[in-house]
Order: sequence, then structure tokens, then C-alpha cells
Amino acid sequence: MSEEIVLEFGEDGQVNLEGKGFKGQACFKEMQFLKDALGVETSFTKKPEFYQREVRRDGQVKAR
Amino acid sequence: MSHYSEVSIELTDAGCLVAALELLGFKGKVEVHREVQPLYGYQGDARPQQAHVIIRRQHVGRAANDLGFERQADGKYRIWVSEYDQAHNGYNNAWVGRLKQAYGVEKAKAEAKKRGYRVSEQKQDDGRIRLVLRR
Repeated sequence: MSEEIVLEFGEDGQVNLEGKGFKGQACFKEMQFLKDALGVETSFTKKPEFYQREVRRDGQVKAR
Repeated sequence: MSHYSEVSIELTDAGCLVAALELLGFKGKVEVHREVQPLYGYQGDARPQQAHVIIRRQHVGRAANDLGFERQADGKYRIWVSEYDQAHNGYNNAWVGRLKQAYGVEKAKAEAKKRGYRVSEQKQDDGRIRLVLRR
């Protein structure tokens, strides 16, 4: 999955940001420049896939 | 890893502020000053408020006062709108929200392009504006 950032700007001066397809800490790091540029972060939520486990080719289960 | 984040937009970039004001109908009517300038009331009287970015009263509406944006020490712009213009000329909280929306879109597009993102923009039926950044 390619990396993308989706922003939705409301008419109330709030913006919701969503990172998709990033691995590891890259999502936080890559979205930080937008948060810094736009204003003050009021909330954030880790998406469900953050808690999913990844099964490696050698059969070991690796927590993300 | 992916996540959601909500950000409350603050006005800090003069160029994007001017672009947003132009999108809201003030093209060619926005003054930008390095130093603060006085704001004037509907009778031409200088008000105690001052601003760096100004829309003069003749562009604001009937019996209007100047509309101003004063850059604070922390870099954020404070908005000066008279109570009269909030109540009678439509420059209320909803207008400020739409201004911040337009500003945020301009600021995000500018910052994303600096970082090499391709940006697509779409206006939603509910008034929201969606940007998708890819690279």
C-alpha cells in the first residue's frame, strides 16, 4: 500500500488528518510537519492496525 | 502504523492568510504591513486596535469598521472584528471558521509541496474540503 495523508478541513476551523500505509513510527514523523504548520493538535487515535500482529515468513509472530 | 489526528487551525502565515481572504471575496482588497497600523471605525475614527493585515471598512459592508489581523509575539494572528460587523455583516464565528478552513487548505498545500507530495483537492457536499497527499 502506498503512503498517503488525508486531510479533511471542516468549516469550523478544525482539520482531521489520517495517515495511511506508513510503517513503524514513520506516520507520526511524517505527519508532524503538517500538525506544526496548521495549529494545535487536540486529539489523536491509533488506528486498529496499530495493534494487529504481523506474521513473518519464518512463521514468527511479531507485534507491531 | 497509522493514526488519526485532529488539529485546531491557527493563523500564523501572512501569505496563506491573504490567500484565504482572497478566496473569501477580498481579492485585491487586503493590506499587509510590516508594522501595525491603526484600524478605523465606520465614522473614520481611529480605534485603539491595530493590525498587520487589514481589510478597510469600505470593503467589509454597510456601516462597517475595519477588519484586522494583528500578529502576536508568538507568531499567531489575533482577529479584530467589531461586534457590529459580527452581528450585522456576517463576520461571526462561522465566518472565522470558513476563513480558517481556507487558510488551512492553502497552508497544507504549500507545506506538502515543499516536501515533494502530490496534492489532490476535493470539495465535499457537506462543505468539508479534502486533501490527499501522495508521493
